[in-house]
Amino acid sequence: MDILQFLVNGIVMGGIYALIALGFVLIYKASKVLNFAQGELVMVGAFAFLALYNVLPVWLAALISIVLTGFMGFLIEKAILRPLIGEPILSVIMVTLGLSYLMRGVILTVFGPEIKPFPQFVSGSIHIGEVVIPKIYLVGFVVSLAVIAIFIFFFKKTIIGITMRAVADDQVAALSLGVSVEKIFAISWAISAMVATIGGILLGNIFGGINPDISYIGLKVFAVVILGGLDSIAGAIVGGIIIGICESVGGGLLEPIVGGGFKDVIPLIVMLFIMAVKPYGLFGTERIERV
Amino acid sequence: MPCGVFKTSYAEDMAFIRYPIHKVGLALAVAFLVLYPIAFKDNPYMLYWMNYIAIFLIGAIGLNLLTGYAGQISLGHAAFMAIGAYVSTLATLRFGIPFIVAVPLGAFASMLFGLIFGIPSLRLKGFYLAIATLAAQYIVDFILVNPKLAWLTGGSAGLLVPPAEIFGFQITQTENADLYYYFIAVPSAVFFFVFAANLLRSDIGRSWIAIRDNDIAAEIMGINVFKYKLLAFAISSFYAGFAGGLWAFYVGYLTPEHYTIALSIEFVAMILIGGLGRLWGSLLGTIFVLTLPEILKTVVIPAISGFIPISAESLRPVIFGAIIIAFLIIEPKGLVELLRKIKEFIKLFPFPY
Amino acid sequence: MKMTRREFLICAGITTATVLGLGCAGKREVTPTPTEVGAKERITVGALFDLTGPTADVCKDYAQGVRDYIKYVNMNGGIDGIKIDMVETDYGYKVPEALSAYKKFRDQYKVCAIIGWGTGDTNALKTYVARDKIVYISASYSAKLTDPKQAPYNFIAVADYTTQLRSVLKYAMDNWDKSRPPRIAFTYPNVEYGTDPIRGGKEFARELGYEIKPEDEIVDLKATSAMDQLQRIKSWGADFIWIGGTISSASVIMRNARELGMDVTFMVNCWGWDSRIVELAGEAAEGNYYNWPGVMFGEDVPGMKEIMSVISEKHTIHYIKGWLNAMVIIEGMKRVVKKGEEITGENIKAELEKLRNWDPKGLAPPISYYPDDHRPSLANNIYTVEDGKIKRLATIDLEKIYGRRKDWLGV
Repeated sequence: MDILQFLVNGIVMGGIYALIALGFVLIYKASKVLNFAQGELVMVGAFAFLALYNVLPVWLAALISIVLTGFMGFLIEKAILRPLIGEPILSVIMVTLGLSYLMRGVILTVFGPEIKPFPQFVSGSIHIGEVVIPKIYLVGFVVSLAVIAIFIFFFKKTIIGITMRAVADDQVAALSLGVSVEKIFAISWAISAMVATIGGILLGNIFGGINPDISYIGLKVFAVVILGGLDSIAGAIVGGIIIGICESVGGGLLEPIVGGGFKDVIPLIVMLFIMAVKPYGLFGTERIERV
Repeated sequence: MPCGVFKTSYAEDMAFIRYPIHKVGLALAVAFLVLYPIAFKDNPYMLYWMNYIAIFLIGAIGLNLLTGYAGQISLGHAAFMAIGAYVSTLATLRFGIPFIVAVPLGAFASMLFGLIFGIPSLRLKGFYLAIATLAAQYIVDFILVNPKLAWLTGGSAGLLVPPAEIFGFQITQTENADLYYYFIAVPSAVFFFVFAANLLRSDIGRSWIAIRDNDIAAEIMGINVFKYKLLAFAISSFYAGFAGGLWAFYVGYLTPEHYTIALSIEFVAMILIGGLGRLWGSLLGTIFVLTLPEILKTVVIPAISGFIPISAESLRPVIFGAIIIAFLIIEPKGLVELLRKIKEFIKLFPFPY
Repeated sequence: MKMTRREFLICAGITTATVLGLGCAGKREVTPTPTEVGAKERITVGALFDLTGPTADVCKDYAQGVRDYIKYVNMNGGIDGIKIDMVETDYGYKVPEALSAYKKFRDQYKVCAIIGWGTGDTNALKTYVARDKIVYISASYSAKLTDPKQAPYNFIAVADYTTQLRSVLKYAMDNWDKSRPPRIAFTYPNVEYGTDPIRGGKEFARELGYEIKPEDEIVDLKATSAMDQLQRIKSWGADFIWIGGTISSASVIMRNARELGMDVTFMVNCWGWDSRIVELAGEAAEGNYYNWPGVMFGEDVPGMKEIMSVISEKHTIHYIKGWLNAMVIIEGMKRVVKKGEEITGENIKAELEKLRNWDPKGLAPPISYYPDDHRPSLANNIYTVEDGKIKRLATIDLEKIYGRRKDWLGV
């Protein structure tokens, strides 16, 4: 039955969306910055890995690309976001938009617009009845869940994780306790970039090829975080899977009726619906505005 | 503020032209605009640039009213422009409605859409509104490209726009199209500019500024926030729709590829770089953003390609993004502020302040 | 390190001045002097390329082919001593950019011929070039461009997309060995280049007796996954799938189909593949029907020797397409000059319409244009991939079977 196949595809993609959404939530939780360039971080990570893959063994390439992009995230925060602390929200949004433009342009210039083949670490598929699950999808799903689990552990148990949660909760209180809030901001960007890289590598694996346009996944990630709540990690996971399923099943069933490309619009419609009904998402914290 | 200038009536105080230097500036500007087509009568390229800037200026002013003055972030401005373009084109194409009526008709259609998209603005703020408008942009994009609706919109192939005629006199798709269109585009731009300036010094403008600064406080003070937010969306999309209609007829061919998120971002860049909440900023920002690719192509790329062989087009987003970031970090208030600072510096020289 | 405003302004001023200075002195990307049509030693040709947009994956090679042919002609004495300058613009597959580039070509450089690229912009410009009498040869092989009633100044160098589709449909039908009718589904991107041949192709498919999937599947030019679309095709049960997109999305479709375990033969349009398909699609590339009326790069024909006299690296069939387009235009110019006439768009068009079975040095089937029929030929080559190597399966010349069917002109 088609629906089952769509469901499975959706769950797998949902896992990856969750992973990338995690990066977004991280930055927002720590510094209340909305990173429009999250998709581009994924793209840069994927390409970084590809560039290193031809030269180094797989494990080393993955490790170095993750570290490199982490460093890049750190630099971005220091050079670009730091000067904009306190500026109106539109400026911050525009800066991240400008950043996304910049990164896309750089990758386009360096790598060109063609699709580049991306190594697939596992090939072949499993057949369960009529449903075909390419093994690479399964691997991707498992890895994203594993990474998410690691991060949940990181936040609950390690000192840095707890510090980050403290900063996200109340910056002034954290400052008064001696926490270097600026350093936490930088670290959150670095980790977010690293997570994005892992997501990018997984995406590349699944698709078998990458081009600079995979940065458009950033838009779907917005839908995920709005559904789940801008500052909720659990929300990112749940939201990711839900969006993945809605997109895949909805697109699969409705596209013949509504026309091709509807699949990419579904997450946006879900997002609009959520914003109308429950603006803070499923798990987000309510914001109380004071005059 | 120059010395020795004082006002004796309310009208004088609220006037646009307050200082003698402004009168001179205005006279020069008018002279420039009138002489320009005469000087460049045979140079369609230069005329094209003026028309291009004028039409997009209308759109940029619209966005500045919405985002700069009323504080409502909109990342879907290109969608409104697209609606205006498509409705006016279809009006002429399918119903034979003349150009003069079709373009305002498109603008009205766009205004209606603006009202619809403005409704969520009551509940959504800041980031959420930005994302909602972004989503609207993509949805409109999808509708325009959709092959199922191609019988209406032409789908991805687009529509061939019929020539624009005013009382039987054909102005586009002719030899002197650029020259004729100059007399439509530039006066429209001037009109909309003055209209916006007038709007801003009225109670509507002041309400918008109040809403931008703190909408809850504005509500408490008695301003009907919802009404003014809707008004902002409506007027802003009217501007965009009008610009869209003008642009469609000028280019002569309508494709949805032109009205994508990239254009929306360009509009936001125009008002940000020019100066958010400053009307002259829209002008400066528009000129800057639109001429940047040309400058890149003719000056910067040859400079760099002497050293590194890089294609011009791929460098454009890099430099564009870098400039946006640079501006936001260095001078968040835009070009207008930068110019003001330069003016101050010259005025006070050799003192620092 | 935070700079003060003043320091920043000074820095910016110095940078701008330096850049401007270097720019004026630096190497120019395009030849700046506008030339006049008339008695001259140089003539300018305009060129539109997509080097950064959605079809850039195939245009880069094409552009190189165009540039190199012009270089080749100039190296060998030009057209009777007249050298050719090319002004190129990267318009990123955006129609408005193409339109403004066109204005520049027409008004500033006063070209009489343009070598274009994409279907959308070529269709948009066809009325303009007809009015301005500028000959336009495009990499878009849209059938609409072959009807002089609609596009009098447009030319293409090989059989149009719909005819290519028809020929592969015929080939597949001729080699169909099962008793039931073959089932075919169409996939293509939602741009004019993709939708162009579908109507005419489906008509002919029905004529031949195919069963056609009612809904077509849209696969974007830049898609990285086509699993959903293929899933629907799989449940409908297709034997053949037509791929109407460029090589990037084509390779994705083929790989996804393999992952889903589908047993189909792909019919791929001439921009959906080249020698990289084996690398990009791997084993999924085996056994499909690949369309391209011309020859593969490196085949032993006189034209290839000319190409190798200019370059030494390997290129793809898209390079040949560019080389070919430039060759056709310049052939028209050569004939005009030989007759002693001025090189104008009108004259080039008139000369081209006199071509009968002109052989483009073996790179493509012979070309004949008529004043009422701008179809160069109705011949197509079907290639396949066998054990990782590209091999020609057949040459189908629909003209020999059906003649120049009038109901196919422009569809």
